Amino acid sequence: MNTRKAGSQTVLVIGGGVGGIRAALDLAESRHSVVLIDKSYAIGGLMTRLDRTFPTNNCDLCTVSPHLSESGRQLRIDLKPMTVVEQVEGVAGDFNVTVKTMPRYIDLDKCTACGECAEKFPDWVRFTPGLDPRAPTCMRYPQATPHAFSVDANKVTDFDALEGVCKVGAIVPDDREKTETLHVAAIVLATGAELFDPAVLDNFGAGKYPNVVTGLEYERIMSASGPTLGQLVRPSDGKRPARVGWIQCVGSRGINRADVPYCSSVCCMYALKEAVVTKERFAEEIETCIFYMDMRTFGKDYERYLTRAVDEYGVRIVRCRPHSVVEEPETGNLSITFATDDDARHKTEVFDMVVLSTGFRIPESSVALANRLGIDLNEHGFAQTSGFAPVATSRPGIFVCGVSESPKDIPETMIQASAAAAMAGAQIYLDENEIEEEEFFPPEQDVSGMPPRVGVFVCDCGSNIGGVITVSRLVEKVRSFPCVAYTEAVGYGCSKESMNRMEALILEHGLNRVVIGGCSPRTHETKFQDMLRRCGLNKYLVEIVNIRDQDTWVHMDRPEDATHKAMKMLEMGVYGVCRAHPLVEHSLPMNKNVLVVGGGVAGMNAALLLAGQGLRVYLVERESRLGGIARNVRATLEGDDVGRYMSDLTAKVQAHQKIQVLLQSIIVDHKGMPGRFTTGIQTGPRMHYMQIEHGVTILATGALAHRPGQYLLGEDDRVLTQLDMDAKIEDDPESVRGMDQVIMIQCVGSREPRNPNCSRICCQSAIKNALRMKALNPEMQIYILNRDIRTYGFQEDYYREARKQGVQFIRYEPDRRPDVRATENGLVVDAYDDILGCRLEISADAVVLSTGLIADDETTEELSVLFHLPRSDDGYFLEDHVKLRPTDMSVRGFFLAGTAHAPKTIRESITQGQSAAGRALTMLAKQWINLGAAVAKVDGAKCSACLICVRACPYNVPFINAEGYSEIDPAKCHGCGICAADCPARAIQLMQYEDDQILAKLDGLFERMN
Amino acid sequence: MITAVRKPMEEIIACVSPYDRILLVGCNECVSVCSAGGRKEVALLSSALQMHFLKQGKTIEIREMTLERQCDPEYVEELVNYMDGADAVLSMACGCGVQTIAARFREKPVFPAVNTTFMGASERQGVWSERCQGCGDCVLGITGGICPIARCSKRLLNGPCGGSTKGKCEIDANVDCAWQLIWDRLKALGLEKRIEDVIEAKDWRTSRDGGPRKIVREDLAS
Repeated sequence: MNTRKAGSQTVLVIGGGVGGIRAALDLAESRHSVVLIDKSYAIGGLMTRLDRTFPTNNCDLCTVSPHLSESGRQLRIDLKPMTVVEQVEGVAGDFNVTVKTMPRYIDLDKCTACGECAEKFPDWVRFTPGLDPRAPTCMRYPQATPHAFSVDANKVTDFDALEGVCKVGAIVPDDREKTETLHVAAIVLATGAELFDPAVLDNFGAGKYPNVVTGLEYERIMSASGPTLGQLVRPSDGKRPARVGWIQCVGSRGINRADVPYCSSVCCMYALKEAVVTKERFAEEIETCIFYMDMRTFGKDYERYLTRAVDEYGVRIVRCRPHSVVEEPETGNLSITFATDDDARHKTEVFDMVVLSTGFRIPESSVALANRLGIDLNEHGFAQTSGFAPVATSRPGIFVCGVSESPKDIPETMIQASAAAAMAGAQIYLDENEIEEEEFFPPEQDVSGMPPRVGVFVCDCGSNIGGVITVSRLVEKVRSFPCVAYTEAVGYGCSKESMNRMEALILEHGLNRVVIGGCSPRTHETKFQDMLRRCGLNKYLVEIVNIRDQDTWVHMDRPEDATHKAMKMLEMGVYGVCRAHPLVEHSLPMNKNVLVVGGGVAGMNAALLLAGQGLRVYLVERESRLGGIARNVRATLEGDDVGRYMSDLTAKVQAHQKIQVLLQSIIVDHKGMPGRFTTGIQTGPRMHYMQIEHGVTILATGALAHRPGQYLLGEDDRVLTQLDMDAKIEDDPESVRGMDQVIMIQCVGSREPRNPNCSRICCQSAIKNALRMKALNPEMQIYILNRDIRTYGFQEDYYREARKQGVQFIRYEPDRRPDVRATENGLVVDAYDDILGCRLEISADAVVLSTGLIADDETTEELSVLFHLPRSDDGYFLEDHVKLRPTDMSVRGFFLAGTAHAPKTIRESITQGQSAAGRALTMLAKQWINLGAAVAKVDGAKCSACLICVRACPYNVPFINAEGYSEIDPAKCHGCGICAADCPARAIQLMQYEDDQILAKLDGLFERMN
Repeated sequence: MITAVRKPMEEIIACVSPYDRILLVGCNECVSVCSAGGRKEVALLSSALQMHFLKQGKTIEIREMTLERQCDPEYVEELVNYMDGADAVLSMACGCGVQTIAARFREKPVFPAVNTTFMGASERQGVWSERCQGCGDCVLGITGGICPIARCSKRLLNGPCGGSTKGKCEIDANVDCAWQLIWDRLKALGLEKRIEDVIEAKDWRTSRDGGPRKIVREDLAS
């Protein structure tokens, strides 16, 4: 019996950037109610201001905006823009949160985002973040959510005039701020951070020299939706620059005034991306040069991105932190003086534009918010979490994700957001017997066999349509089309009032097909489909005619032609919809069991979280004990005891009554579909065969500790890996204490042609071991031979500490690798020092190699064949989308966690384990698997069993059945339509896009000729 | 299967242009499978012809029909109701289909819309190759399952000839030498010695040389 109060089923998400949106969507899909608040008037956060994102160089708006409108659509999400938290009382599971909403002066229910107000009053005031001049009534970009404007009341001088232009009466001049109390079970903090404003520094000329811009400003200049409409021009004279320089770590990794000591983690990649995109667009015309300290391309496949940037695109990288930027006043050009390790002299170069790579800063407002939430912050102002609970803040029931926790890029924010959502959702008791999603819609009436009675409703959408053509003329014309039973102009069709009227008209006139002449089905189709369902009609009986995008927007200057085209478009719509017929969305019951492959730290965390939600979990591990590679790690960089954590975790998993642990087990076969898989395993020493039925699969098969045969590893026992040393410090501290001189070599077996990627974890493990060895013997001399030190985020603190304690960092280049020799007196390492410009010979009691991780190629290959999953070039599993879906796999129902995805730390593996569980929950919350309606269907009587569809299908779905004709399982069909197009017998039709519907539209279009 | 390719548009247009009402008949067997004359090709050709004549200012009436098999009189009989409305028939079946229609409807001109090409097999999607010439006396059993009649340019029974270079035929470097294939296959079967057995001159009377052929199965024929 659920004794909790009704409100405590809700989770509050603070912050509507990509992290907050992901968390809110995950929670909503897992059948939790969510309140998503953001202090801004539209959600989207920082990402919506970027031009393109690494490593795919995709345009961001295209990737993020569907997510935004998705959250606008979700019934379980209550979106409150312009809202902040005032106060939090209570305990986990039972919080009372007071929130305050600022006045928007626009009624969200009425505003249709037509843009009249922005058109009439664009210049009243400027809204200027960086280079972004905008109007007082401002949507940040065309796909904004909520899809409505907001008014900056301070800037408006005449509210009556503003009210006058709004045709739907959405302006609310007397809007007031509102305060309300939310009763929530958990809170997810996703407030992100700000970017550092370099104007406070006096040496780089930011804010002083027009041609010095920040990374984000450069993004805006490059962005098609930015102030220059994507023209790369420099601010001083509007000319295209020929030489652009980037300066890294501006305001980060410093100890001077205005600097922060941590690494912002993302700037190396974004500077590379900006340089590469510049090169992609302008190639030889623009020279690009990046001044950096360490190139920190530690993410999945990022090292390859760096290699491509340098080798293929010709981006020049110079290792130096320049002191200052000096402007030549006449030209506006900027000169940078710098020094490199291999040259004693200073060099000066002149650039047309300089981009400052600024990092993340926690704003004062976030510190104040943390105080109101009652959570601890770390010394840098980010939310404090612990080593093995990466998304839990110091106050139970409050979770954190994204940059508010630590500097990170988008994929890591997405991983953490799903993890935070899963942890927050776990605070809520979900009644398993809760009745299935109520159908709010009346039963559908059977329209088959009824003559079509088409209703045509045409929007004028303010000036968007009505400003170009006369809607009443369209309506007159439409009346003459066949089968049209009713037609009317509806003003703003998507407004509540119009929808209500249309519903009444559909019922009154017994309409059984509807055509909407309006805007894009991309944004509005669902809305009108829902309207039909409210009228008891199948949702596939509506046709959206996109008059706005495809006609009035593009033919603004030719109203007469535009009117004619709109008529033709509507005629096509009417002819097409007459042939529409009700479609059934196929569905099958969901299997709620979970298969977790791999019993390491990621797999066990996922299993525990899911079992805690009452789901049955099968945990398959090929070894004879749980723990994976983390079992060999003793301590983390932060000093947490890994051994104790692992034995606690293992004990919890083994004792959980919902988890069945299958040791010494391997996967041997697999079939089924997302939501209903059957997997065969062989288990135990006798390889007993059994089958598991499950709805989702989590892959957490880990990676391997690399042991390349280099530098005498395996030949001389004084040469160790970092893992060996980690154990030795714990197990045999005396022998470590006795060492006087130790050399560590970084990037052994990584960042080289055979294994081109960075192993991510080695720099921090080298520093971890160095600090522990220094603690045992402060006199010990430790040299770390490295190529770049990649201590991202707060790991930088330990790098600084290591240098403070006298650990020597010596750089080497791949063409001058160090050499290790064994002599009678010990080991000797030859290394070339760039600064001294000569070879060094260092004797050592031990040489510790940072060998990192490599993909478990054999395992991932085998599983990728069994499960039909893609892998990356270096043998890790390949996620569905490297930016936005890092935990999901391309086959639905498969999720990815831990080092099977890419090298990562224990803490990061825990996060992704929780994230995979969270993503799995979004699927498992459903009772039914909806297979959609747009699937290919074969007419067996027409099929000549030619096999063309069998060969053409990219998903191998069609087969020739026992009756001798092709059969397509709707459960597996992706609806791509290739088979329908190729079928020589025209025996295959793609539902919703059937030949007769398309031909009918053409009949409508060419009605004059027929 | 029997393979075919559509005739050039000009040729088809020339055939049907004297007529106003065309019955366009496809076949759901071989020509469907080789994408030459199935329901889809029928629809495409029909649209193409209508567009052509519309541009000429002429309206042409085309009725599309696709029979299960045009070489069987029972299926062809399905056309009987439509013949009155047609001035001519355009068939997309192989020559067998065209003749079956011509034999049934003596008073209507029948035109082929495809060139019947060969008896072949599909190598992969969209690629068909000749494999059989219907010689009436199959030798595949002694040639390692590779037909020297259909696949050797010279129909040699005891190859290869001097024109075989690196496994390819002298007529075209893209054509495999059938006798090289036969040799490779015999070797794989451990039957290399067979290459030395002389195959006697073939009795071509079972092939076209004996005039038009006919099969009569007494047990089936009535």
